[in-house]
Amino acid sequence: MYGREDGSGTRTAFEEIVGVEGACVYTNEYGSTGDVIGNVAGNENAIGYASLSAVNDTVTAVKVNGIAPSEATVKDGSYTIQRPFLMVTKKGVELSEAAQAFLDFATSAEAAEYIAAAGAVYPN
Amino acid sequence: MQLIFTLCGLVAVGFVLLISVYLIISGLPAIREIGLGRFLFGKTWAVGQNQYGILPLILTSIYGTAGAVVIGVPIGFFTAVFLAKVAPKWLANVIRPAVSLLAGIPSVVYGLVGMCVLVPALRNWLNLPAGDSLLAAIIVLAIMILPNIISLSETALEAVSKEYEEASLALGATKLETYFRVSAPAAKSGIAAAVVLGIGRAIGEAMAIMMVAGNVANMPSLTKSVRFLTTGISIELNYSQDGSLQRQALFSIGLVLFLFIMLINAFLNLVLKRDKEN
Repeated sequence: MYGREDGSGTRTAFEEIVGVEGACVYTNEYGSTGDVIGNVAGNENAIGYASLSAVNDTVTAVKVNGIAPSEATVKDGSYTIQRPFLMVTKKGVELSEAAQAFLDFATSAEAAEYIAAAGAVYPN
Repeated sequence: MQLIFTLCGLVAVGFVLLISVYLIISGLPAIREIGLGRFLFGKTWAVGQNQYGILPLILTSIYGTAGAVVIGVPIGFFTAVFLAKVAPKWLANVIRPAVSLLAGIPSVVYGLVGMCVLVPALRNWLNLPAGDSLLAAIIVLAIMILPNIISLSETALEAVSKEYEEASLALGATKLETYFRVSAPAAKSGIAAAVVLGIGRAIGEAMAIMMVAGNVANMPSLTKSVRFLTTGISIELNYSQDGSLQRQALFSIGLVLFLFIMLINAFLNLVLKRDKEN
């Protein structure tokens, strides 16, 4: 069982969704998603978790409840191990023009293709 | 002119002071909150369960360094004797640059080779589930401290005055007896300094062992995944939130590591000073 270090967003999300928060004992812990994938690819006994966008053909993606992970199954919610990425800004502070413009762009339909190109799923 | 030299000299002192003060200031709050005993002797490091015990990390660092010394010092010492006394000139001229090259290899490269070659090899030989282990880290560290030990011990051995060795040979001792009974004891403090420097390098190494040790804060066991003091800091620093207890505890680990290294340096100075007085 390969996983991420304590405090990592991937680890927190995985353990929360699966309902094993703080209860996991890992064989190895790695500091990055790439490390997890690389080491799972290099060891036939290993299993781990990583973001869909980082998964490549050196590893096999596991089905959850019979559903294989893909952009479509993440979008319609049938692949249940998924988490949102949030845009956060400082509380009580007016956004600068540039920041506001970036936020508008990032949430516009125009950004969807870039998000898809990065391997993540654009929200409905 | 003298002012410039003095200022340059003070820069190093200034940075040491700055780092010490910073580490103490940022390392103490977490220790105070967790409690010194529970921090140093707690057996579980689990941020999610609010458990911050670094005993596994401390023991791993000590065992890992000791293991590296046990493997690295004999090999390094014998190589030094070979280079200083036994080897024909041409062979020494091949080995010496190879040793200094070994010293120049960046630690991340040691880690990479360890991860791609050593870890799978251990997994197959010992039939382990993963191969990332204290043993892998010890082997990598032993190789990393070799150059320090070899070059310092060699210098010390070469500094032994010829008369000692000639007197020993004249009394009928064989060459080997002379090297080990006369030259080595005469070079004792230089060799001790080499070992202590090797220890310093091993205990402070992070990058290479992070790639082969598996990084789970288990109590140390040769074939299991372990976490060192150094890797404990580097692996969790990225995602620990600024100002959180986790981040503060990482600084506290840094403080503990710093104290370890100070102790080793103090010991080194003691060894060297005693030698000078003799």
